[in-house]
Amino acid sequence: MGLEIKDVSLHYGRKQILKHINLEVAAGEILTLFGPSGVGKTTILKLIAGMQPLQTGQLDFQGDFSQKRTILVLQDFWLFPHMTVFENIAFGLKARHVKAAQISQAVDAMLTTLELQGLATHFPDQLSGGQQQRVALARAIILKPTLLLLDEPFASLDSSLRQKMHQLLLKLRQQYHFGVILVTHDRDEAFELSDRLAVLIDGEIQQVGTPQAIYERPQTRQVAAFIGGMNFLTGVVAGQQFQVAAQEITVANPNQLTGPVQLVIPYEAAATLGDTGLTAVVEWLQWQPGGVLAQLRLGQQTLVLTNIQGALQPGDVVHLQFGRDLQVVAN
Amino acid sequence: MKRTSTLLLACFLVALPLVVLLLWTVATQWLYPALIPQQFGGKVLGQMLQEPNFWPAVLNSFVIALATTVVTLLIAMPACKVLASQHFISQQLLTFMIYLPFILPAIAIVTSTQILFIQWHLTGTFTGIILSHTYFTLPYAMQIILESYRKMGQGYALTAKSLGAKPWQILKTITWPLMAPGIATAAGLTFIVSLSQYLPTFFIGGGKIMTLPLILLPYANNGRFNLASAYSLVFLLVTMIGVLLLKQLIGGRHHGARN
Repeated sequence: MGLEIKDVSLHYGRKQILKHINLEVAAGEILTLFGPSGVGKTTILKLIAGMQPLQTGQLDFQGDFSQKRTILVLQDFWLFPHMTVFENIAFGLKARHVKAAQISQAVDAMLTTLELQGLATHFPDQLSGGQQQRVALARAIILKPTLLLLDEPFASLDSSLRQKMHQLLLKLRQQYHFGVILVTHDRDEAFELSDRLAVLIDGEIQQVGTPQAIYERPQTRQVAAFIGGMNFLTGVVAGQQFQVAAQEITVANPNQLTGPVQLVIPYEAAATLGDTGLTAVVEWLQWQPGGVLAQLRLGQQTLVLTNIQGALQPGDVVHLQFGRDLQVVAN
Repeated sequence: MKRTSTLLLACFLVALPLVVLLLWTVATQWLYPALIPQQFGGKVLGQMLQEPNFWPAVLNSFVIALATTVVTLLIAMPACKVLASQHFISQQLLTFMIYLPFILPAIAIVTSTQILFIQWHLTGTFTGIILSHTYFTLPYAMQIILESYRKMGQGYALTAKSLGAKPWQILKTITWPLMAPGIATAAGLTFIVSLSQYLPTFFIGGGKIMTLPLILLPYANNGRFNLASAYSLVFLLVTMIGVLLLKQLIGGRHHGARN
């Protein structure tokens, strides 16, 4: 059960927007399309929702899934300004000619679930951003979708409100069992909400995996750079051995690269001090809420780490040990 | 204080020509250098009402302007919907193209249209006049409606479609109410422009179909200011009735449209 996107490509004139997209989303799963703006993330949602015709490729809706039971919620909510909250939420049911009594019952239930009681007769311009967001969700969920397509749903909300909306979305998913394809360019949001992430850069899916897998094992330099907060150490790899500044450490090399490569070390990678390991000199330290930010020198290259266990002083020579084999990517 | 005096001045400037029209209409003698007429009477009004073409002209003007408005909207609305959302032609070029009909002198267009309409047996018919009026009203209507579509954006219609609404439901419940203020403005302007057309009505109608401007203009040109004034007032009245009627018909609820 779910949706399988098979080999979908799209171009406007000569400009290729999407290149051979293959993806699947399972029932109840939150899959995030993560990538910079203008790479075609929203276009994928429009194709799935049937708002834009497919040029090549196929959408395979399986089991309960169908285009009819797929609802697209666009960025900025687009609440109908001339309709009350009640009329907005009721819109889809009304379009399906559901009886008025049933509609009113369903809308009341939605208003309660999304804590919108007392706002039924308000117009959208009388609502706060968070309330507008909840009306937009209610308007979609009332139709019992199997798949919800959310385009940058929380982009216009401030960060504390965004946290609350994340929790609400997870709660609603548990209650209504819909799958979600979420489009975002916000890393924290992608990591917090996703079961799986698909990193989309230049119209191509670069990598699909759990947030942890993408964070710890980025397949390409582009993916690592887009996630951000990463050190790249230039060195040479042969098999599992990586050489940098006359040192050698064991690394993960799933793509079996050889020669000059980059070692990816997230700023937040957990490191301990030992007798052996990657040797570096502490240059300076700065206190931060999440821990001490340390800049270290390794030959000609610098390294920023925020999660080193142990006391550091500027000028110290330290041997860093990471709990896992770090990943190398092609230059 | 300053605001009140500005307002009064504005009222005065608007009212002054109307007062002159009214005075001309009710004057039976108004000779130089008198500031106001020397004699008043209903002679001019009677003369106008007894003119055999008066009521047909009023009715024809109204019907033609209303029909032109309907035809113009029927063409402009779907055209603008497509034009506002396409990316092949730049929006500036589009604006230029919409105004193109105004570059050619009206007389050139009307006379060549006449030749074509004779072949199509459209001269002397309401259809012919309405079509020729539509040519001159479309640029105004298109510009306003295109702007309304641009301002509205595609999000509402896309959202409605995703929520399962059929195209006609989207038109009825979303597009029409949201566009109503723009459509009403376009309709009002179309009505006014059509009502004041002289050349196309004259050439295409071939004198068989009388409208208010066809009667009014000769009087004004021949210095019969009292009759011309009386007709002008009627003209004004018909315009106001038409525009208010269209506003009332299209209306639409208007609440907090998105900026």
